[in-house]
Amino acid sequence: MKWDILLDMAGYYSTLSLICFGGVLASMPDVHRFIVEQHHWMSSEEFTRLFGISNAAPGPNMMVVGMLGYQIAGPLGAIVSFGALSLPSSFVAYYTGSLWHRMRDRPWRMAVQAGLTPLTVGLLLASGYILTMSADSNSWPAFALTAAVVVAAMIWRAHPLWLLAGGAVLGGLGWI
Amino acid sequence: MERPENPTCAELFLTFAKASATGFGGVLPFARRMIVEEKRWLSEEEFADLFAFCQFIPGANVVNLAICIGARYRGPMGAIAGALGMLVPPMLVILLLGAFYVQFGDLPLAKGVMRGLGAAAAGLVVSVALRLGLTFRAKASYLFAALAFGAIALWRIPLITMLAVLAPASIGWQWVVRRK
Repeated sequence: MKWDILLDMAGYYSTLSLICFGGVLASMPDVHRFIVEQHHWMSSEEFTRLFGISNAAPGPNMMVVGMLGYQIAGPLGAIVSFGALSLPSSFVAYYTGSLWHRMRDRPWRMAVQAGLTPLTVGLLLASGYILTMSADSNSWPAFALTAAVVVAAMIWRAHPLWLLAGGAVLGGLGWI
Repeated sequence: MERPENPTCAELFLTFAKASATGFGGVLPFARRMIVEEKRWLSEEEFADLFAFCQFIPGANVVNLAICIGARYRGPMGAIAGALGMLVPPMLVILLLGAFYVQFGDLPLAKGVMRGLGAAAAGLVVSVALRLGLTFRAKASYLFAALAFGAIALWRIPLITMLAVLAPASIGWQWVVRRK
């Protein structure tokens, strides 16, 4: 029974690994469909809660997948989901990355690069926007904290850890 | 700016492990600081370029970043060292956190801390986006960035559709401008 679940997760995540352009954050609606709607492994509320915790923990955004896997099938579920999501895309990165670097002086390569950078900035800004909307909904202190962090990081180049620690303390005091 | 010597596999592993272990709310701000400001492996522009590529190929972008940088300095072993540095510490954290969540997830203090962390983390992502935006050399780049933002954040167009339309347009525009 449990092996069936692990096999399902391995198959799904290794496929997702090759098609999740723009990172894991952008694929969350599809992961939700797979876990909650298709397999009924957890409720939608539980899914949202786990997503929130993973965002507050250190590590790449893809960690949420390990967290979900842990709740579904224990530590082995976390390791299988995490591994299946990382391995295929890692091979792609390895083989295309060195090719990309060797071609760095070709004009087409420079046009591709210069053309893609603005899209990345737009995507990152979109992630920031979506995170802000979900973290600060109906709470002006939370919104003020987000804005203060942007200013502190941009102007004073404050270390991210200090900014996060400040946020955690304010949240722990119940002000956010 | 002076370039340091090529890092060893151990240094690659430790650097990315440190970035991923301290990278609350996303590793990117920590990785950027470590790679550009502390280790000086890449300039701000090189980092923006490489990150754009890592964002474009599938997978977790910071893991791709660690693999590309590791491979550039130390070949396959460097790529493995970078990827493991990026993946092992968060994996350990997840195993711990998964167990803790079951026990303490409903305490008000834990909920408050999670809210504060979430709000601050959102601000960090915005600041990274803005800082990378400052490296643009052409005004039209801002237009393409704004269109990408609108497509994903406001109009909720699927990512693959957005890339299929905007990537050729933005690259084509650069190609035309550069040929003149």
